Amino acid sequence: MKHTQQRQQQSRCILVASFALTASAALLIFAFLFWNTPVPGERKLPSPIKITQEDFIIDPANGSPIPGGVEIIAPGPEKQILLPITKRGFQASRFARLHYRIENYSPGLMIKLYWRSSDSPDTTRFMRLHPGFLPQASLPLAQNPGWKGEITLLGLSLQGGITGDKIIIRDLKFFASGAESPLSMILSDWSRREPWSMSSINFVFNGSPYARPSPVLASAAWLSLALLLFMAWNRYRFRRFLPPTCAPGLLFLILIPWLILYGRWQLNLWSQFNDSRQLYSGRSQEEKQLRAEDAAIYRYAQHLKHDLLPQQPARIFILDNTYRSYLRLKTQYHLLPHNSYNYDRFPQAAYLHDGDYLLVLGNIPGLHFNRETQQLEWPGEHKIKAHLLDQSSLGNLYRVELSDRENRP
Amino acid sequence: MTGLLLALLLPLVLGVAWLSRYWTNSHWSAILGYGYLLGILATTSIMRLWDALGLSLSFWPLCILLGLLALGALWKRPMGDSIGSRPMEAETGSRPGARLLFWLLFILLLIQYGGILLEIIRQPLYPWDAWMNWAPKARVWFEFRELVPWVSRGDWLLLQPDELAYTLGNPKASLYPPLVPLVQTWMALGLGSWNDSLINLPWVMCSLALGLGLYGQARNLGASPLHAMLVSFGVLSMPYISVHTALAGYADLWLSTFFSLAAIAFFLWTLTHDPRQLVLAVLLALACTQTKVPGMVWAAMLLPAWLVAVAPRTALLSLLGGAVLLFLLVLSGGFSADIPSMGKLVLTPQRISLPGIDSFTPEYHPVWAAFWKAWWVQGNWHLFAWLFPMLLLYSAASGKLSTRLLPASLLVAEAFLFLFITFFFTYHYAAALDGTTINRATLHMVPMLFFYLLLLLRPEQRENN
Repeated sequence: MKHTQQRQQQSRCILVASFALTASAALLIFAFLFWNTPVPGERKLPSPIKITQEDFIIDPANGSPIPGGVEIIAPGPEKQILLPITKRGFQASRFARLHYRIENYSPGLMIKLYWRSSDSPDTTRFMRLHPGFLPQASLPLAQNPGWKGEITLLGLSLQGGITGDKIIIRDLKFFASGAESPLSMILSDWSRREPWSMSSINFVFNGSPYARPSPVLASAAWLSLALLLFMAWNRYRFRRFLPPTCAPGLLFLILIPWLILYGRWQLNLWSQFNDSRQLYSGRSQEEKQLRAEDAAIYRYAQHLKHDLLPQQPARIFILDNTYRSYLRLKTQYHLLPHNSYNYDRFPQAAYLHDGDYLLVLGNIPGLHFNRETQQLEWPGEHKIKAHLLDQSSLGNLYRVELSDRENRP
Repeated sequence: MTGLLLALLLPLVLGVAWLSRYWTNSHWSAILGYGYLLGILATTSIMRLWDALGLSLSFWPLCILLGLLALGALWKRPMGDSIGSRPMEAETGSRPGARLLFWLLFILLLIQYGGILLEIIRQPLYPWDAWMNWAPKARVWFEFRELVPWVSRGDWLLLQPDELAYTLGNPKASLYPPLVPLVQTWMALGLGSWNDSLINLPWVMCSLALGLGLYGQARNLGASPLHAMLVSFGVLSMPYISVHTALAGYADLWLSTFFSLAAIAFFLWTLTHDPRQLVLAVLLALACTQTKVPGMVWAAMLLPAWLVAVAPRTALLSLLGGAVLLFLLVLSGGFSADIPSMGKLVLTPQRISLPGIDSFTPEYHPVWAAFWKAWWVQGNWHLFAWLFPMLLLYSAASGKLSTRLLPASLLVAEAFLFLFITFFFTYHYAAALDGTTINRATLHMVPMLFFYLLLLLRPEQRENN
């Protein structure tokens, strides 16, 4: 009898918990809408700026216009496509969001909106267009501090993806702030996909980083209000805020928001798994590397290893103008097991051995190769004899030639 | 394929064989979880010993050795449990709702880890530090079949032509502890070739070991299967844990697993006085020191907590005395001392130098906003950061913070203090501001914190004597 009564009480608590969650959700949605919906007629909103297929300048080799948008051929990891948009001359601050639709999204593809404005005419700014779980996604341009002034240059840049995949970008529209419902904005932000990036290992958003509030903040508010309602009912009914018999109800209260956040995260995780499947499944190590976003670096390192460097691990001094760049560090990794020293802009002449290699990545102001004297020269009248082995867009490879008396003591 | 499977499973077999010999009153899940970690510690230690003896790292001889060691656990195996009594069987609950929830959470984790496993197999080595700091060592050790030294950049420049040593592009990383790249080297040896996807399969094992360890220890504590599953699911469902598993190659997941399970074993020792729990805590603390440099600090935290457990009054007086002494030292201008074979210890208001760990100028940096964002706004921990203080307050208000939990509570407080000092008073504040390190440091303690909540909220039950 007592056991049955306890069961009934537990069931009642779970029921109350679900009512508390429902009531809390309803209250918070109402409050959110009330706070974010502008009063009708308060100010005249500009009409959305629609980007049609005529507004794009497309190289036929890269794609073609279609009704409402463009069809683009994914360039692959080693190339970039620019799609200038002829519509410009509007005030950025009047248009807070960009709506768009991406179909047949190719794994590893990066689509970015780029622009310049009268505010900083020499700076090109970028914001990435992520696909979402809903057909229509949006980008909160107003969150970018560079989105101000009169737009003087506009376009889309595409990089990556599986070479040859056809992507459709359509329904691009710039919307004024307040022109769309707060609910659709927040849904768009919460449904944004978050593919792997170099920052994923440090933090994740489980949605858009621009979402206000974030899914976690919203869920915390939902849970907290529901908890207060639940505790209030318990106090009224049992004279205690959290009686032990209501533990299942409390568990239900916590578990529902947790599982919803978990479900949203799993959706993101599995969309990433699907991308990886399309990119890498069934491929050899070499093929995987050539599909990854650093394919150009891998290809270059393999060329150096197979065509120019000796079989046995050699000493390589990697030089770059930037202290710790992705290019130099990833090159060092792909050159393994060659033995690299990877810190400087100029050679450490005092520590070079005859037969060492110098890999100069990109352009380093002050460092130049004198073909007549076959010497590398850099500021301070430093020079060393070197044989140029290879020149490419990524870097130049030299082999150091030192006479015995020039060798390090 | 055989080599790959052996490389993956032999450490597990070795660890479980020996652990189950002595930890006979434990739930099987904890034996699996802790066994794997001890097996990894043993495997990597044996590789270092092997290399120190001048032998070339070779998979099959090492395999045979590990196999023999595992078989050795069967020799004159004690029958039954001679230490302690069996854990009290928690009420498994005939409630269908509890069983349904248990299996639902289990299936969700199964699906999640299935996907993660495929992701590791498919994705080339991706996250930054994985290919900058850790995998390069494994690549070189595999290439040469020996533990080629990794030296500072200055020492590399001074190498003679006939000397072999490497240096990394990150100045400090050359001197990081070796456990994680040794795990990758072991996998490469088993594969027989370098494959920078498959060398990371142990990250799935590590994550599963964490889940199994949490579950098993919760059961050892007397928790029901559902409550134990809630702890495991709670931890493994957090996005940041699955990111560090799927984007394998960092050492933080390993440090989190080693430290948290060490702390949990310590918690259980304080409550049950089972010496085997203390041995586990010490062994896993040792593993922390071999994983990352901060691992030494995490491991060292167990010492004050242990002192409080064995001699609470003495320990608390010593801690107070130590704090007063430190304060007086600072007032008097501080002091410095040379510690043989370690370096110079400096404790002054202008500079703090802990040899082998870090050196910094103590200065306050208000990075509260960075913590707010990382813990309470971003998606890293679901609702954990919100729930932890709520449940802590509830426990305090309901009188659940008993003196029996003092050592555990001290360890938890130390963990928060470590993060507070690191990010608010050292140059690491920059890493807090750009978001690169807060969550990784938090990861090291989160599973422990989750289990601590179980300690606070579980119904009062008899524990093992």
